[in-house]
Amino acid sequence: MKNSKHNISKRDFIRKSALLSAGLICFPCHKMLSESLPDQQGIYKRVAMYQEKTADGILCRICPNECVLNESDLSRCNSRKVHNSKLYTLAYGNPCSVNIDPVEKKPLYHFYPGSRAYSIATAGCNLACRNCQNWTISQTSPDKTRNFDLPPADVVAECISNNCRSIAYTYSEPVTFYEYVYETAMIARKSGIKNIMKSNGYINPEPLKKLCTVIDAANIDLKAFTESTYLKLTGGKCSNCLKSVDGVWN
Amino acid sequence: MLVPPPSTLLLNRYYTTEFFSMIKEHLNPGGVFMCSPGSAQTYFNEESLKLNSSVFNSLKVAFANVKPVAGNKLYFIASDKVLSASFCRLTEQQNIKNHYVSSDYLADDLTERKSDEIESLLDPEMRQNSSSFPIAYNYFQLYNLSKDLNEKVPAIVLLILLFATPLFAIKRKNLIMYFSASALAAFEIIVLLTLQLTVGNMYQLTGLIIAGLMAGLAIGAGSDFSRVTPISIPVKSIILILFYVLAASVYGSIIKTDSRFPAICMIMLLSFIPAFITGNIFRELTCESRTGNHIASVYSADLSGSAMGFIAVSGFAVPAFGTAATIYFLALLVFSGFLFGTIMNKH
Repeated sequence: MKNSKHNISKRDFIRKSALLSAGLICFPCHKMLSESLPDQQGIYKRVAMYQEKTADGILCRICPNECVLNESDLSRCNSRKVHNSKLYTLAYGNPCSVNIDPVEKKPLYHFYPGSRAYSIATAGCNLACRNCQNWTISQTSPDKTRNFDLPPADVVAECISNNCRSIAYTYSEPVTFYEYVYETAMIARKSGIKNIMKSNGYINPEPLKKLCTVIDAANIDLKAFTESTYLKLTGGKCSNCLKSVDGVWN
Repeated sequence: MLVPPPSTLLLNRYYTTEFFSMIKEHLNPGGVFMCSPGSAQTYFNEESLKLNSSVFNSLKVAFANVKPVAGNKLYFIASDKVLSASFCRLTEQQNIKNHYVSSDYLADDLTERKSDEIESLLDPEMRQNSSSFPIAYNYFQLYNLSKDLNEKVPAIVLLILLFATPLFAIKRKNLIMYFSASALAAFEIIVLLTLQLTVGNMYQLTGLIIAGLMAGLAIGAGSDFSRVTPISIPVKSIILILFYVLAASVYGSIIKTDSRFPAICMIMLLSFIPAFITGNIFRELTCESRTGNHIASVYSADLSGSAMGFIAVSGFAVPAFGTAATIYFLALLVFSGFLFGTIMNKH
């Protein structure tokens, strides 16, 4: 006997259930997506430094990852994007973490001890360490975090008004917000404010050399001593970090 | 109190409104309680804010004042008297001599500033964490999931496919078995959770509950009761639906009871009844055919339904919707089986 019109076949039942489940799953996803959608108008504020056009795309020469990116591609550090054939930094004037810390927390014990450091970070990192304590900002993009509107000059002004002796570029990875660090540090120097970089040292020699002209103190994390462990824990190469450790002091 | 964050339903008990109220009963007037639901981050993402907000709001139910303090972890201090995060000033006031708590290490203004900043980020409207609605556990899972989400997605998809695949092998007439087994497995998880909430130490009683459930299944499937056997499967389904609706409505009173022995008896009875009916449905479905093939397919529907019930309830439904709502959902599950597996299955 044929099924009546009220009957439902197994295939129909499964299809409808799958559609309903997909709908239920997609509803919160859509909500999450719409919440995290960035203000696309304002994110391309600053053209990135150290970019080079190649046959394969735009090469970012800031760090040893040397991402080659095409239109709308996001770099491995989640902070650089190609827009209209130019590489832009998404991490400029928009720190997601702003704190006043004792300088000892950086940790620097012999650099203006007892003073305070105005500490800033934007989202993003060029490594992917397994045990990162700041993963909520290091493994995401500046367009997905709650950010402060703090251009370089304002950082310096805030630092002075809060009686801080230095500005610390810390928490996530300052190499990924290189332009912001460099320009803030330049203004800070003019005002007599010291600059501290807390970094994984995963940066190419040329940008590092330029940055060292404005940085007064640095703390470079050497996260492992062998290439295999370094790769396993961070996804990067130990030798690149060692070059930076050498480069900072020389 | 330093216990791990609410990463399991067991640990979630230490972050509920019920637990905080109990703590307050045992504190001296103006006593201070402290707990830590997670780490103190330089940036709190949405998931961690939800987790911390739910615990903060739960503490607010029991205590007049609650203050977040960022240290190695994020601490919540709670009391009925006015609280302060100016630890240096307080230690000086109390003439406590020490080397660690001094302005060289902890500056009062920075601690207070950070405290205020975190409090301003917390959502006062966030649902409180309770025994019957363990929302903090849910947010902790979401917080964990938000870390390296891209790496976890393939595993989640694989798991969903693994549990969804048996659905394609289930015959329509066995859907009632699939859904009633799913509801029973889910109910078993809820019963175990309830046991934990009412009795606390559940090591031996867990065995007793599972034994009760298995006995119900065995008696229902193996015995030929003259009064039960003639009842048709749709009617048995309706009885099962009514049972879950009733269980959902009395659930609140069970977890609030102070007398443990009646609670345990009630819990055991609650686990036996649906098991007996589900076992009897299995009997009915397998008795109508003498082929081993058919029995195997009913058994397959039974097991895959149970697997789905275990996963969906312990991992998703209870923390997302609360226990009582989940039991109502079980009634809905059986109703789906009744609808698609019995009523619309008639030829």
